[in-house]
Amino acid sequence: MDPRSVTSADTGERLTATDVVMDFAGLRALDTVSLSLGKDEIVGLIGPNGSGKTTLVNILSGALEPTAGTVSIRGDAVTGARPHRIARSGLVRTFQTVRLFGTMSVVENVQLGALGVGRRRREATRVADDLIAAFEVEHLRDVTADALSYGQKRIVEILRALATGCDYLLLDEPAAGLNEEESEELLGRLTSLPATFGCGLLIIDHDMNLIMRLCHRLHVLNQGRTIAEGTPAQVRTDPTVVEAYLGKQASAAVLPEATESTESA
Amino acid sequence: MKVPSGLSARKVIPVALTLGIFLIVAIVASLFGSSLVDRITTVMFVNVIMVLGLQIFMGNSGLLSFAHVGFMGIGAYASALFSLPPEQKLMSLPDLYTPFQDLQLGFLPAVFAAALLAAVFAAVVGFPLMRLADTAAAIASFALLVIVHVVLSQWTAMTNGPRTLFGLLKYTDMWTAAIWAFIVIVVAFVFKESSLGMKLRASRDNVHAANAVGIDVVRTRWIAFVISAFICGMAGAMWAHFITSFQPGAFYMSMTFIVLTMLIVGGPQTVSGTALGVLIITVVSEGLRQMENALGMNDSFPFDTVGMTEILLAIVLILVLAFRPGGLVERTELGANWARGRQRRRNSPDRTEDALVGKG
Ligand SMILES: Nc1ncnc2c1ncn2[C@@H]1O[C@H](COP(=O)(O)OP(=O)(O)OP(=O)(O)O)[C@@H](O)[C@H]1O
Ligand SMILES: [Mg+2]
Repeated sequence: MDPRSVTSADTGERLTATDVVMDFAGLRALDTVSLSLGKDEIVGLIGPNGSGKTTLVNILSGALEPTAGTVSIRGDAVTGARPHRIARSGLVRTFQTVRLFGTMSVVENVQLGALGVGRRRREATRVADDLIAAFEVEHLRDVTADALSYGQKRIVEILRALATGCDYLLLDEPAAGLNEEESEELLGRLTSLPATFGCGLLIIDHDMNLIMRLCHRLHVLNQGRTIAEGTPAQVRTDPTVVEAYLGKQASAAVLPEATESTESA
Repeated sequence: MKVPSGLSARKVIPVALTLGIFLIVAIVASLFGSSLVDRITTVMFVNVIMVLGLQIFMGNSGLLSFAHVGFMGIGAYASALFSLPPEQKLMSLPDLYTPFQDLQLGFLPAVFAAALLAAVFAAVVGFPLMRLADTAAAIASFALLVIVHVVLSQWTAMTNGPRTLFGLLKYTDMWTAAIWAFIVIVVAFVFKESSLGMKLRASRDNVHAANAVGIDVVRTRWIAFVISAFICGMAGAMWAHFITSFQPGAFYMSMTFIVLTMLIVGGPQTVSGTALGVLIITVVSEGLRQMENALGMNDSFPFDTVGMTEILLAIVLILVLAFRPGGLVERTELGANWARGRQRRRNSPDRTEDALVGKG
């Protein structure tokens, strides 16, 4: 363990990325980005399209190996570890394009979250039933995942992730494709996750209304660099942030409303 | 009760239905009392074992494997080596290495030892193989089939080389094959619903999502590969002790073609579909073969009819792939919806209202 990777505030109970660099053939998608997430907080990761948000999630979850920099969970370096190892260490992500087990029922999808991290069948069944009840989706229990609406799929993907009992949950645009009502409902459910599940959230979304109300802290990326960090109130008025967004949308608003996002896995 | 009864019925009815269908086939076949029907039915039951062995891996993982007929061949030859009486070995395998000459196990121990050997072989080769991505894995499995074939045809001391290996005792009869097929049908259903089977199907549906919830996809595939090789090895051993003399060529292209056709036509994602595929392809190909023979004897028919069966089977395969790419029983096991239908009726709103009115 590199002592520098854990600052005094980290106390071992955090997910930490330190000076992460990611180069894709000729393109620096992330440039020395550092980020940290506790089990009891909700952090928003925002930035214009192509700013490197999904790339950072891919690195944290092990889907990509960073060109440089380290990722550690509770002080243990996991940089470049295979995704299933990282999931078993307590870090689980969802995908910008929903990825469910399409031929299987909702309850089986959720059970697989628990089975995936090595729970026994009986326990997985209990965890799945509890989650389905808590999110009030009993009517979807035996529906095949492929047959769900987009909004329902998003919820099931989150349930599946929660079934792993993870400490850190990374949500890549959970509200994309949801209507206002669904979005509002999601906001309510996500707010209580750190308290009820002991699970810290890193949320990417373009819905600034949602992000501002949900997050304790924000981390703003632009073209692969961190341009601001702080509370929603601080970030909202940060001139660099306003400029980064205004560059794309000549809006008089301090921050733009949700923008159409392009899909990238 | 917490678990809805419809859910367990959903899982039990298809097993019972599949077993029922094949039990009826076995009974009807034995009532015929014809040696031809008996032979066809026995081979069909061995194929049920073989193709379900393949389904356990291919159907649940979504990966293509050409290697499994090789495992069948290993099972066949190894079981011969284990079961041939020493005096028969002197004739059948004159160059056999001394330690093997006196080795003789009973039929069942020989079958299981042979299946175990196929499984161990699969465990070793599967280790690198399961790390390959889709197309590369398929091609590598094909290369594996070629390797097994070449070894079986060239290792004369152990296999009698490309010539026929003869002198096996005929242990497998129709009911032996049928009973083992029933067992494998249950095993395939249980595997599919086991947590290992669920994880494997999860990796088939979305490998990134499977990784993201902690599933070790490579390990899961590897275990399934080994289990399925065991069952295919068993099928080979059963087949060997029915046919009693065979060559390495029996476990190569044409067998691979027929086995894959049965799996794909029936529906690799479902156990009932796969089993049904074996039944249907057996009936179709035996029917065609009778026709091929009849036409072949008839001088007025203008074409040479040899090979017609394979051509027509290939056409059936192409038609299924074009119009029903998931196979005849694509996703929902045969009979599973009977349970769902009952459940839906039970939970339908008007019924619930009736119940409430009744109570009030
Ligand atoms: N696998 C890859 N290979 C090459 N370039 C990539 C790859 N993944 C992402 N990129 C590039 O890296 C940059 C950052 O992409 P990323 O998907 O992380 O952005 P994002 O912030 O998630 O954007 P969005 O809001 O549209 O989802 C983009 O320019 C993208 O084209
Ligand atoms: Mg993105």
